[in-house]
Amino acid sequence: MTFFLQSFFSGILSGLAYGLLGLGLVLIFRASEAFNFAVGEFLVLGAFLFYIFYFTWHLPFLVALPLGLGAAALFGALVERTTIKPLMGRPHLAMTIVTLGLANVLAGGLQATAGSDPYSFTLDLPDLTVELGTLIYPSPQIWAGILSLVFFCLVLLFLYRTRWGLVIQATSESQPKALCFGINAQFVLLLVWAIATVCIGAAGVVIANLGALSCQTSLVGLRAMPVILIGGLDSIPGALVGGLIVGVVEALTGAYVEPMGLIGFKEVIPYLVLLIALFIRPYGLFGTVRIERV
Amino acid sequence: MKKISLMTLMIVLTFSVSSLWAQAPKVVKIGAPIPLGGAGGAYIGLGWGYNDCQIYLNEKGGVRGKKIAFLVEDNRWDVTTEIAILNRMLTMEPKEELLLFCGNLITGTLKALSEKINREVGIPSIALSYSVEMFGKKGGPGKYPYYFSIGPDYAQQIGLLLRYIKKDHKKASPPLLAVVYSPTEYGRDPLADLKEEAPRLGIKIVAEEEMAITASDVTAQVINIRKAQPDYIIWHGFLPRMLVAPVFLKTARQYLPKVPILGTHYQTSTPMITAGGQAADGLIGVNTLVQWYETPNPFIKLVHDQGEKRGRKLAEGERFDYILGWALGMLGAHAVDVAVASGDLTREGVRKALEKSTWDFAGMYEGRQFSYASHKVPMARVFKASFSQRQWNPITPWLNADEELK
Amino acid sequence: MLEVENLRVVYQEVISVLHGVSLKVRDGEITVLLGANGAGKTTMLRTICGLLPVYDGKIIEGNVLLDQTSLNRLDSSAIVKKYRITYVMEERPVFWYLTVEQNLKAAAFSRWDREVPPDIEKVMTIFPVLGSLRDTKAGYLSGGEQQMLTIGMALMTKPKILLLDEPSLGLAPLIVRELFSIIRGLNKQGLTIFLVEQNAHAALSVAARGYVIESGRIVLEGPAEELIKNKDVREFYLGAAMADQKRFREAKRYKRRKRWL
Repeated sequence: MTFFLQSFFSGILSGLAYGLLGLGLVLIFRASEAFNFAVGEFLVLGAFLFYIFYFTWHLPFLVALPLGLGAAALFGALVERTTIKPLMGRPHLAMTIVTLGLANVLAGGLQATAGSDPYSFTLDLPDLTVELGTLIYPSPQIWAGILSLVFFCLVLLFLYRTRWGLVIQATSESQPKALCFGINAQFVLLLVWAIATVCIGAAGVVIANLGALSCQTSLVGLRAMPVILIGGLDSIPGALVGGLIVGVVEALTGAYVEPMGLIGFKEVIPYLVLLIALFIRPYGLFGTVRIERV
Repeated sequence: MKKISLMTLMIVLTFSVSSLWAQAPKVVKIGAPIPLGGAGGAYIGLGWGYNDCQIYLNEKGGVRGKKIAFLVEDNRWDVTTEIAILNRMLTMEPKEELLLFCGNLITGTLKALSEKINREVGIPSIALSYSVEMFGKKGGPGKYPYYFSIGPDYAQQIGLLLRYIKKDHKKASPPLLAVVYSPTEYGRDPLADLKEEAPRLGIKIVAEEEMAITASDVTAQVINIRKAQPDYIIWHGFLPRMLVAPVFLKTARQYLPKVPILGTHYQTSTPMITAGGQAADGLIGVNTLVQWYETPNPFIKLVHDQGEKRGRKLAEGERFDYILGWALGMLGAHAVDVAVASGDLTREGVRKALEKSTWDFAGMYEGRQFSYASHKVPMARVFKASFSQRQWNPITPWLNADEELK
Repeated sequence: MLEVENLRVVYQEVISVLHGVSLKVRDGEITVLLGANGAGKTTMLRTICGLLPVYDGKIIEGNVLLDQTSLNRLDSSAIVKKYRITYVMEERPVFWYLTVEQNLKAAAFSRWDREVPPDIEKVMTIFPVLGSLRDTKAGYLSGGEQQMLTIGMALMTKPKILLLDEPSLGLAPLIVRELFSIIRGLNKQGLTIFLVEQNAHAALSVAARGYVIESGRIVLEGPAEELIKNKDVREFYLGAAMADQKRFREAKRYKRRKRWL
């Protein structure tokens, strides 16, 4: 039983980080109707930007985090300006394909600048390790869960309780309508990409803290795909639920299924769950069901 | 940028050296693929090691008058790529000139090409792999007459670790061991031998976990290990530049803070300390070469001096590979030397030279000389990592694996 | 005065929708644009308020002028904020997932100042039914209520010129009457309105001037009273044929050679 609890809560903690990652993608999808395939590279870039402020320049955590994420936000805005904005009015598929190309460019650029070696990445945060008998939840995992939850809530607060958040909701629903009422939809889109990049970057920081940071860390970004497809591409609560599901399923598979000889299965299981979920609810568990006339 | 300039330099150097002597069979070519891209990371230091060794040798007029050229290429730590490179070299370079392969890093390539090399091509290869299959009890000069290694094979290395465990273990109950490996040829190589050897020494294996080399999260495996409550963990099959290495170290340190982790040669290098950070402190491992900071060692002195002469500024992580490059280069040069001296400068001649000569490896092993009859240099030491000093400190003297493991 | 001169608009670089349209919207008046589906009415309005790029459209010739300033290249939010031209899209553009009150707040975003909450109340007085639906998500409102909300949202931007795109579409006749009386009321308070409609009856009853557009060309213009009496308008848009019924074959449009004067 303790073994189950150990794996389960470990999965919840990593699931929260996945949820934050998914939130970034959902925000982008709702506003631009594009799936951001460059999520892995955004993740690594966000973590690297933070790395510069925290590890290279030795700024304290509470200073380095906003600076690093701020730099990530600027980067997200830059990406939106250069790649997405020119495509306004074109089919949304075009934007998705652009992110594919962007992923390649960023991956190459990152490897050229930072090299392929792993960078040691250990945040100097207060030790929150929880030990209950034989159960142990190490501090970095707990911090990952806490920070992800905090960022998630901050974004939710911003979206649903502020004026700007209201406008983002409106513009995400329909750009032309927003434009008619004088809302500067282009700036709103920029803002959304910036916020989404901050989410993805923050997730990157907590994930890198679990191990090290290298260009290979971008592979974690692919986990975001089943997260938001299970939860619903345009659903914010769906991102969190999807993240938790994927996290727990991965952890439990690693604990119970893999020792049966199916090594590596835990990489596969989120996609299996995705398949099943899509059979039951094609738009994702919380996705908006489109009414289509055939 | 560095990689591109290294490649350009290599290509230019190779072409210029080999083209100048294209007519005269006075140049000896040594094929030397190294990983520059791919999952294994970039071994830039290795390339510079070859480069500087080559310059050093040729400066003195070559080896008994023959210039040496290392043909360096990027194998991306991928078996298919490396096989392609070696095949290409075999077809393109004249038989009289390409006499040696040096530094094949990947165990998988050795296996794949062994048939061809044994039957058709007959080119000796000094591998960077310490594969058990090639060099262990079941392999060896009888089966793989053309393969040579520069250290004890992985099973022997693990054997040394097992004996260390025996000595270190203070409890009355038999020591419990967890084994972590990568699902590659390299990773699985010594497992069979390990499973035989450990019980013989009274060590019980309680957990075996596979970690993919591209894994970014190994919590599940570590939790499984924790369930088994081992006293020691042995890990093998990873390179320090793989992301999974520091991830594993960190995760293991969090979940199993008191369990010592022991590794084979490639887990015991300075880049591992840089990548793992604090989590790498206290790591134990076997290393078959000397470390950069062991300046009294004559081999290291040579490498240092030559490096300074060229103005070579190496990052910490690259020095380990630099030494490796020099070691391989010098060994190759020595083989050529003996071959020329005995008048037989062909592939067979080089092979016999390697087998029959005894050499002190330019002083690396502090005066000891070996015969290469077993195709291995059986010397290694056990080291412990110190994060504060950012280096590995030897905790045993030079151990001769052939003798220790009787 | 809002003027359109020789406007030619294409979509996706090849589909020509407006072929040299000119019209004037005088200040303080309600001007109506009549036309069948696909004639180019919505395109006209989109062009005026700068929304063409969203639909991959482009002005290839001609000008949109507000008091002699060209609006061609301007961004739509600039047009709303600076020149106070607000476009109410066809099919009742409300934000379905926001409540009525949130919709009004969102619409007021570009001019957020102290006046906004009282303005929201003012809108509630003009459209009393919205007051009772304050916290309902706009997607659940009926067609008529949505139309009122849309106009309310447009009012929140404090426009000088209001562009209305087929406000009566799909609404019951009673609601249409109520709607148009509100439109008349707004105009009496000084709001210039450019109304695009298919329901010629209701439109011409409130308008001062009118234009008829067909296949991207203006084919008739004049004061509203004259248009109502015009034979062709009556036949094609008001549904009333003259006593001397023409034979069906002759009524087919493409056989007409008569030039509109």
